[in-house]
This record gives sequence, structure tokens and C-alpha cells, in this order.
Amino acid sequence: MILEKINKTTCPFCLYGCELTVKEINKANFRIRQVEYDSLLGINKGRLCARGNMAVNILENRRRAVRPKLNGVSMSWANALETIKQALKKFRPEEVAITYDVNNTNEELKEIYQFCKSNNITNLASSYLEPEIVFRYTISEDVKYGHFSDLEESKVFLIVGDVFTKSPLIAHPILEAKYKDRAHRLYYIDSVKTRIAGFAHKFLWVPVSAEPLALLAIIAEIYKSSESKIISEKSFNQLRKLLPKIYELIKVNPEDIKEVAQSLINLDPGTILVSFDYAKTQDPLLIWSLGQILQILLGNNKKIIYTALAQTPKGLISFGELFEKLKSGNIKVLINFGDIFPYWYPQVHSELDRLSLLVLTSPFRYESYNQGFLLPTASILEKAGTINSLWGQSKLSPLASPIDGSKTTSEILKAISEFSTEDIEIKTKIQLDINKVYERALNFIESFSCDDRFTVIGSESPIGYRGYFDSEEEVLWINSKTAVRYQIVSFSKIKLITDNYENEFKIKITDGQLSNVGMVLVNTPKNRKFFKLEIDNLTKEIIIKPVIGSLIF
Amino acid sequence: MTSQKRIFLDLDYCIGCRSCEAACYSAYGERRIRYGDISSTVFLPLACRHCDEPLCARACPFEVLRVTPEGLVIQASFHCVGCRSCILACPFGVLDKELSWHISQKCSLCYDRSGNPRCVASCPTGALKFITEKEISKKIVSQRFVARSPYYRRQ
Repeated sequence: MILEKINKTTCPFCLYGCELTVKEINKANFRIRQVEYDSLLGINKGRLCARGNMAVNILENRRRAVRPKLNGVSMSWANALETIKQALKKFRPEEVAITYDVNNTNEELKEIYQFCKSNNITNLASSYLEPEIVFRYTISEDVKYGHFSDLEESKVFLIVGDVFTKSPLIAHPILEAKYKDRAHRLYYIDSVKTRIAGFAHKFLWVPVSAEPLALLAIIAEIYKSSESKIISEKSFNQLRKLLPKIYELIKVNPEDIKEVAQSLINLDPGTILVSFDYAKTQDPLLIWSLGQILQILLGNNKKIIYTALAQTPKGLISFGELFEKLKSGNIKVLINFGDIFPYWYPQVHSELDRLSLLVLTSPFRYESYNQGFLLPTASILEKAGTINSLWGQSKLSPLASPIDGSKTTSEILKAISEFSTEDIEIKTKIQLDINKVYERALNFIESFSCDDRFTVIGSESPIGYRGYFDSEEEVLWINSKTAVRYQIVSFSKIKLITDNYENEFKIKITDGQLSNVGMVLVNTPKNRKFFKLEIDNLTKEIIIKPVIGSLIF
Repeated sequence: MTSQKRIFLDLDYCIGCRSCEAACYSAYGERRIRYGDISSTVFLPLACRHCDEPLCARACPFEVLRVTPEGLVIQASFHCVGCRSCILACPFGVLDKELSWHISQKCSLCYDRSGNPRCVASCPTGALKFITEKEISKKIVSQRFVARSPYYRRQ
């Protein structure tokens, strides 16, 4: 007998909130799972990006963890949980840190918060360290966030960063709106000439990390026509004085900036879209804050939207503060609930090695780091609950039953220690002082300089996800001028050396890079070793900046 | 074969996300639709055209590749030995040079599905279209693209 079952859920791999359908066919002795595209429901109308298409690959991945492990050696669940429970009793709450990254539903996050409150643990932080964490900061309550319908109706778009790679489905409403009328405009600011540059009416190709300067130049152009007084006249005059320096630094034609500013003022409605890649820009917080200021200056007819792979609340402390405590040795125990930490962040491995007790939970086995306990958990595709998307809360329903041998976050928490289930509110948005942001922007103009040395930036491939990697992770993209300078040709092998790490790469020459800039893919943790984790002064969050490197044959 | 549906690409919408490739890989474990990187801003999928007179089928020494009455060029038997003759013969270079399980990877237009092939159904922007040759001539496809040199596309 053949049994067919269709399971639907919200795709959890970015914030766009696509509907994901998986058909399960059960025959007598085998089972087939396939992604289905026929659905006319949902915001995506059955379409999916590369990550969504890989859903079945995650459910049936060979690298799924199915047995608890201690330092790479398998053990039973009862033994593992009892050992952790007994070990935890030896430490004071100040010595214990709890962290969480992706792969958690909102309900599970609530339980983690409740667990910390009941056990007086204050070291609770989000261990999701991508630049997207800045989206949890807002400069004002007046910021208007856009909705899906705003995208469809927009006549002018200002895109900062590679939005299409983060959420490919967002390209459909944007391109439809752009092609609706010849007068509609799409502008793009980035330091890499990505696919979006091909669609843009005007591509402002700025030096690496100079996106805030381009936004400041646009702000300076539109300030006079704006009714909002979010920036005082006195503060604006400071910016106006620095305007010639900005134009000198960003190396963009002032006429282009004026055109973008005029279109943003004249065309209604409009959307500003912001997105970040790992180690591609110096100050994501500044870009995001300036984007919000721009939206407020332009008025309520312009909306702002960000795209990101995930969004996590900050926790009781920021990860930067926790990282300092880890370095000083004040933390003895760390328990992480999630998937990618610390495997995606090799920079923290040396600190974690010193801990007395390290408990990691993940649906996957990672060969790159096998210290401490690894507790297998269900994948987010196998969970029920709610997750956040760009358009509000979305419902998750399991595509399959949890893989044998895994436990849920709730079961693990209950086994380790008792906790009360009284309702708790998790703060998702944190307000920033706009004056401090503005001051930082002015300082940024003063301190910014275009480095003549070879700069290494990171980029995320749209396709690499969970077992479906192209061989491209060992490719270093440079432009032809850089190739001439170093006297290298395409596909020649070269060693990239930075202060933190060195690795051999195959050269690929592209017209999408600036001179003296090399781009590596950061989908694999190996290439992330090039970049250092730094702590932001204002938010105490982790920031990852581009690094200076050198090329050696 | 103008009435037979084929995969067409509207370059005005293709964002190079490689979702089509992932959809194919998810279903078959193979990359039967590949991609070409023309410049940093042009990055397009290459699918089998299912030619009327397929050179890959002629090159096949064991007659594995055949044309069905509906006009599909498919691997109709299990006798493929992975000799790569079809890969060399394809004038469009769309067959992947890498073998999968010692067999060449050949698009079958997802004939197990009633609607669109998986790559077309999953395309985030609707750039891939599964329509007949007659229909494509009526539609405005890639007009913004062809108006300019592909290298300086859409600028």
C-alpha cells in the first residue's frame, strides 16, 4: 500500500517566510521525501530558493547527530544528562553561561529564558554572531518597517548590500515593481558588483566599508527637503562641512548621488533594503542606523526592510560581554542551544577549550570541533511552534518526526534542572541613542581611509547549505588589475596570508571586485578563520571586519 | 516540434541564485541544469534543449538516449556505460562533464511530474519558463537584456 502525506511549514532558512511543502511517500519497505512546488498559497507561490530546496537534504542528512557524545566518544542519553546535571551543581550561577543561536523556535527560546531566570543565571547571550545581529537595534520608534505589499507598490528602491543572496525570493516583487513602469527606479550601493548591480539603474560602487559614507551623502542631499527634524540644523552643518571629503573618499560621481536623492524625494512610495555579508563591511550598525535615519527623513511613504538568514533576541548580556568573561576565565560552564555555534566561529574555540564543562546541542555532527558534550537535537524542520519572519510571526509545523536518538531543547532543559514556567517577555528590539550614532558617523568620516594594501572580504554563496557545497570555497576572487599587480592568472594556486590564518586558494578573475580586494566564501567555517572577532564600543556586540592580507606564490 | 514545451530563460529576471540547480540536485542528486558565469552580473542556468535531432542521441553507442514520441530526449535504458560521448557531442555544452554514479547526467524535464519541471517551478523570480516555442515568440522575453551588450547588461 502506498501512503502519501503532504507536510507544510514556514521555511526557517531566512526571514522571508516562504511556505515549504514536502511530500512523503511511504511504501511497504521504503520512504521517499520530495520538495513540492505546486502550492499556490504562501508569499512565495510555491517557489523556493536553493536553501529551501535543500530541506529534504537536512531531514535525511548523513551528518545528522543521533547519539550524545563526549569529546567525540558516544554515550547514552541517560548517562550524558546525569553527568551534566551532577557537574552543573558544582558551579555557582555566575560561572555558568547559556547561549543560543539558530534552530530554536520562539517557544524554546522562552523556555531557555525561564530556565536562566529560575536558576539565577545572568550570563544569557545570543551566540549567533553574523553581522545581521545589528537589525535588533533601532534608533527611533518612528522607523517604518515595510511589508510585502509595500515592495509590490514601490516606485523607487534603494538597496544596500546583497539582498538577493540573503532572500532570493524578495527579488520577484522588486523586479516586478521595477519593470511595471519605465519611470520606476532601482539604486544599489555596494563594494562588490553583484547580480543586483546588473538590474540597477545606478550602481554606486563604493570602496570596501564605505557604504555609510554613500548613505551620509544621500542624507546630506535630501536633508533640506525633509520635514523631519531627527537631525538638528547644527548637526547637519557639521555633516555639510565634511561633504567634500565624503565625495573624495567614496569615489562616486556627485551627480549620481544627487540623482539618487532626487528620485528618493520625488518618487512615492519607495523602499530601502539593507543586508549584510560576513566580513564584507566594517560597520554594519552604522549602515543600518543611517538607513533608518534616511527612512525617517524621507517620510512615511518610504519604508525600510532588512533581509537576514535569522534573527535572535540579544539575551540578558551581549555576546561581546560574554566573550570578555570567557577570556578572563570567569566562566567555567557554557551550554549552547542551537546549531552553528561554535562550529561556524573557529575564533572562539581556544576560549571554549579552557572551560570545565561545555555542552553543545546541534542536529548535526561537526568534525571540525569535538570538544565537550554534543547532544543531538531535532532540526527546526522537525519542530512545531512559531518563528519570526519579516512580516511577523509565522507558524512552524513539523515536516517529519524528530530523528531517532534526538531530544528537544525542552526535554534537555528539564533533565538538567527544574525551572518555573511563568510567562516571560523577550525583548526583540533595542533602542539606540541617535546622537551617539550620528557622532559615530561623523567620526567614521574622519577616520575612514582607503587602504592600499590587499584587503580580504567575505561573501556568502547562495547555494552552499548543508551538504550541497560547490568546490568554490577554495576560490579567491580578484579583479584583473590585482592579477596584473601580482602577476597571476586564473586558476593559479596562491597562498593567502593574514594575521590569523593562511590557506591556499585558486584564483578566479572577475570584474566584480575592486582593485586590491580579494573575496573568499565564508559558507565553510575554514575561511572564517581569516577574520577576527572584535567587540563594538556602543553595543558590546561582536563585529567582524575585513582584514589586511598578503598573497604569496 | 514547436508544440512541445521547453525550458526558456528570461534574462530580465534571472538573479543567478542557482535555485534551479538545487531543485534538480534535491530530486535527483545530480546537476542536470547547470550554470554559466558570463560576467560578475550575468550568471545564467543552462538546461538541455531537447533538440529535434539530438546529436547526443546519435553519438550514444548503446542507444541509451532516445527521443520519445512527445519529443523528449531521455535516457531510456540502464545500459549507459559513462563513455561521455553524449557530453562531447552536445553542441550547447549543457551536459555536465562529471558523471554521476558512472552515468551521464541528462535532463528529463521531470516527466514524473505533471506540471512544470522542478527547476522551473522553484525559480524564485519566474525567470525560467516552461512554454512552447509559439508561446515564447508572443512574449517579451529578455528584451531589456538584448537591448544592450550582454557584458554590460542592464546598466
